[in-house]
Amino acid sequence: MNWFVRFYKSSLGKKIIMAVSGVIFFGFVFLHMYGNLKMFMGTELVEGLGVYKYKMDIYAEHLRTFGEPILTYGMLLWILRFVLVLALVLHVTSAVQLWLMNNKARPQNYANALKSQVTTFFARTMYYTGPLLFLYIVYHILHFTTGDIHSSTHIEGQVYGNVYNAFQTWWIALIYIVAMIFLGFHLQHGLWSMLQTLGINNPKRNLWRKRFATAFTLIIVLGFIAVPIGIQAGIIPEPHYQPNSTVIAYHETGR
Amino acid sequence: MNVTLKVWRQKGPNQPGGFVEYKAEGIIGDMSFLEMLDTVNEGLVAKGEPPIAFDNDCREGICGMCGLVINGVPHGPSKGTTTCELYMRHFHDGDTIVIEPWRSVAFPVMKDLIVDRSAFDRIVQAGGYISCKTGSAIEANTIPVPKPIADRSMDAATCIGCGACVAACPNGSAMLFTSAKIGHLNLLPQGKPERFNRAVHMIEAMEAEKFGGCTNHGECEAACPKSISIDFIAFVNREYMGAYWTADFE
Ligand code: FES
Repeated sequence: MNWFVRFYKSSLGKKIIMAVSGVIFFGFVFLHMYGNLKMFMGTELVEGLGVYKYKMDIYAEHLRTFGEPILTYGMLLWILRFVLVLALVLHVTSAVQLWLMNNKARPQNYANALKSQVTTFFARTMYYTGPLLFLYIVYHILHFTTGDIHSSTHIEGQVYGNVYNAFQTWWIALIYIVAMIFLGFHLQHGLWSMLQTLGINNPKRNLWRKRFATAFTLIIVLGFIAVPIGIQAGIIPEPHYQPNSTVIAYHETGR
Repeated sequence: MNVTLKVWRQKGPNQPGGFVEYKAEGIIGDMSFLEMLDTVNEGLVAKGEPPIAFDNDCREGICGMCGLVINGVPHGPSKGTTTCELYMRHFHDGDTIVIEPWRSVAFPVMKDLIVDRSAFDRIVQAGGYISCKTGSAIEANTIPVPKPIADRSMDAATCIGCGACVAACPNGSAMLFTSAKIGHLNLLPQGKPERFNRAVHMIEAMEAEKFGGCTNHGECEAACPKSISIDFIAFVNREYMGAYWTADFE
C-alpha cells in the first residue's frame, strides 16, 4: 500500500485520480441524459401484463431488474451508487487538496495582477462550478431520489409523473436548467482536461480533444435541459395514472 | 519616445518592497527592453541612486536569466521571446510599463527584480541526466533515433529554464519546465534506461520545492519564450503512470 500513499501524495497522483473519477462521471451523466430523454417517448403496452405504462417508468424499473437473475433486484443501482459516491469522494478530496497546495505556491501575489493569455472562462471557474454542482447533486438526490424536497407531489415509482409535476413549477425547472449550464461549464474544461491529464494526446490530432469536449458538453447539456423545457413548453403531455399505480390503462378493458 | 516605468524595488530577501516610478526618456524602438533599463540605470547611477537590479547574461535568448513580468505578462507582450529579445518598438510613447519579478514560493526575490531560481537546478539534479560511459565519444549514429522523435526531443530541449512557466501559471506550477526536462531525455533511446526513475524523482523534486500543481490552463505555454507545448505535460503524465503501472522505479 506504500506505493499508493506515495502516488496520492504527489499532485500528479491526485490529478490522475481526478481524471479517472471524471471519466466515471462523464459516463454517468451521459447515460443519465440518455435515460431522461425517455420522457419524450410516451407510453408503451407491456405485453405480459396487458397494461400501458410510460416508457420513462419502464426504463426506471428496468434499471432495478437489470442483470437478473445474476444480480438481485436493485443491485445494479446500488453498485452504481457505490462507485459514484466513491468517485465523488475521491474527486472532491483531491480537488480540495490540490487547491490548498496551489494556494501556497504563491504566498506573495503579483502587486500588478497577471493578465491571463489563453486560459478559458470555463477553466478559471472550475473552483466555483465544482462546489455548485455538489450542492446541486445534494438537492437533486433529496428531490427525485428520496422525495424529501417538493414532496407533496412525489409518488414512488411514478417517475414520469414526478418529473412532470416538478417541472410544472417554473422556478424548479429554472434551477435545473441553470445547474445544467454550470455542468456544461465544468465539462467544457473537465473533458479536455481529463484527456490531457491521462496523457491521451497526440500533437498532430489535439484539435480533436477540444472538439470532443465541446461536442459532448453540448450533447449532455442540451439533452438534459430538453426535459424541463419540453415540460414548460407543453411538448411533454400531462400524466394520467391509475390511482397509486404506475399503470396508465388496462389493455383488455381499454380503461 | 518617453515611457513611464513602475518598477518593483526591494532591498533584499524577505524585505518589504513596492513600486517606484521612473521616467525613461529618449528611448528608441530598436533598443531591447534590457537596453532601455540600462539607460534608466545610467541616469540613476549619475544621480548617485542605486540602479535597478535585474538578471541577464546572454542577451540573445539562450541563457534564461532575464525573466521579468512586464504589464502582467512574463517576458512581456511579444510571443515566444525572452525579455532580452523584446524590443521597445512594441511599446508606444507615453506608455506606463509595470515591471515585477517572478512570483513563486520557490523563487524568493533576492533584490528588486532578481529571483533565486536554484529550485530548478535541484529538480534537474533529481533526474535530468543520463548515465553513460566516459571516455572518447562513440561513433555518431551508433544508436538510431527516428527523426520525428529527435525533433520532439529537441522541441523540449529548447527549454532555457527561465521560469516564465511558473511565473505565468495561476497555480505557480513548474510542470512545463519539469516535463520539458523529463521529456527531452525520456523520448530518446539514451534516456530510456532511467525513464521511470526520472519521471517520478523529478516530479517529486518539483513538489519538494513547493511549486503548485497543474490544472491545465495552458498559461505556461503562452508565456514560454520557446513556445514549448503542454503536450510534454501530457507526455510526462503518461510516463508517470507508466512508472506506477510497471513499478520499475525506486
Ligand atoms: S539574457 Fe539570456 S535569455 Fe535573456
